[in-house]
Amino acid sequence: MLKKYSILVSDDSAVVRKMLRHILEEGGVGNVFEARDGCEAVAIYREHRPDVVFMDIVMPGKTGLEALAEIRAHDQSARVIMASSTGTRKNLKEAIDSGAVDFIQKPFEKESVLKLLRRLLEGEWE
Amino acid sequence: MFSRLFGQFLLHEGYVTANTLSSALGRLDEVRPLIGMLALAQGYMTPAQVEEINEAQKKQDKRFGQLAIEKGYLTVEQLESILSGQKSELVLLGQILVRDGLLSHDGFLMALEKYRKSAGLSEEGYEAVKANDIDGVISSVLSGQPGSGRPVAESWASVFMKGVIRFVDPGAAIDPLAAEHYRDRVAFIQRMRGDRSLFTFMAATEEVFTDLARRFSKFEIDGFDEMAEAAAGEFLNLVNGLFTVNRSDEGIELEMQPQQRLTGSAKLPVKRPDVLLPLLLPKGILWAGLFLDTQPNLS
Repeated sequence: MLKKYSILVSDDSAVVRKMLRHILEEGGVGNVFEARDGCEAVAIYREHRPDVVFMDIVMPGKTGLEALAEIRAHDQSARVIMASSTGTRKNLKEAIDSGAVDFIQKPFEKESVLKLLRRLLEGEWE
Repeated sequence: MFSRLFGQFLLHEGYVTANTLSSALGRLDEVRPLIGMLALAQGYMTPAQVEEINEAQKKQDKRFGQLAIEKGYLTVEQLESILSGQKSELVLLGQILVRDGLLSHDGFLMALEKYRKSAGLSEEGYEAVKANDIDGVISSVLSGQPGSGRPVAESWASVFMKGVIRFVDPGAAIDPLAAEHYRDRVAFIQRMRGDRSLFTFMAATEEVFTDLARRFSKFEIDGFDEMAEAAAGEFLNLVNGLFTVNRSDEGIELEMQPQQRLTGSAKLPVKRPDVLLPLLLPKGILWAGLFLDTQPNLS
């Protein structure tokens, strides 16, 4: 069901990208892009327009929130999920106020990730 | 299910919209916790009892606590425990949503129960955590250490150990007799700043970190390579992240700095850490440490 979608995973940690890619591929997502920082994320978004972006908040160079703002400026309908290991009220509020569609806590758990994607992409509430 | 903020849970479960949540989060500092909401969250009173006292307050000029005691819904001890308790953002958030008419008292209680269940441990480490009374073990290991009796230190140690049990090795244990050679080992550090200042680290041999990385990431990792290093660093990040979630629910905000591996001649501080945990893993000891309210220099 998720085969027709493409997802961009933006995180400076190689292991986090690999773990999330693994979950997405196991969940049947058709195409997974990876970005190592905010700049790459913006560039890949502009080129491929993925259906959903998982964006880490704390990244060197351009932060996740800065990249989110650029992506939203380019495409108001962009669906960006902010991801972070730190879960402070400030992070959550900043992410929502900046136009993120959701906020997810690391570590990525397969069921939570896929449930969230199905809700966003297919409108399914379980 | 993993830990997440109550607000995040309410959003994910469809209790609130993003805008409602953002507005409520922005007002947290303006509200004072109500005894009724705290009593509800503690399980001392039922929603019907809270509503009854709220109604009674409209007719009598008495405080909530006084009326609840008169009715026999609260004991003096329970009221004292509520009044001396920590500020809970979780309760404040519920309180705003109830006041705005977005949740009933019943709805708040149900959401809270569901949240607590989902935020708890439910993975394979759960039984191990339950069987081991981690908090009891931690407090006994810390006795004699500078962090003993300090809630933030004990809480961090507890989150770290639970993280190891949950994500790395359900059989992990404390080895109180381990020789303290942690400063000669490979080390990862991570600082947190905000309402408190924390310096956290973990130290071990490459072999221990490689094994930890393999177990944590579930990837084939044969040696202490780039992937092993990234996975080990991410593990520290994850544990500290879970710790910040717990703290944030209690009103203490901490910003995590990126974690880093100590390289070259940089070594962990000579000063004794407030917390030093020797965790026995299959390949040897993993040292976890914390300096509280200080940012010691690397030596």
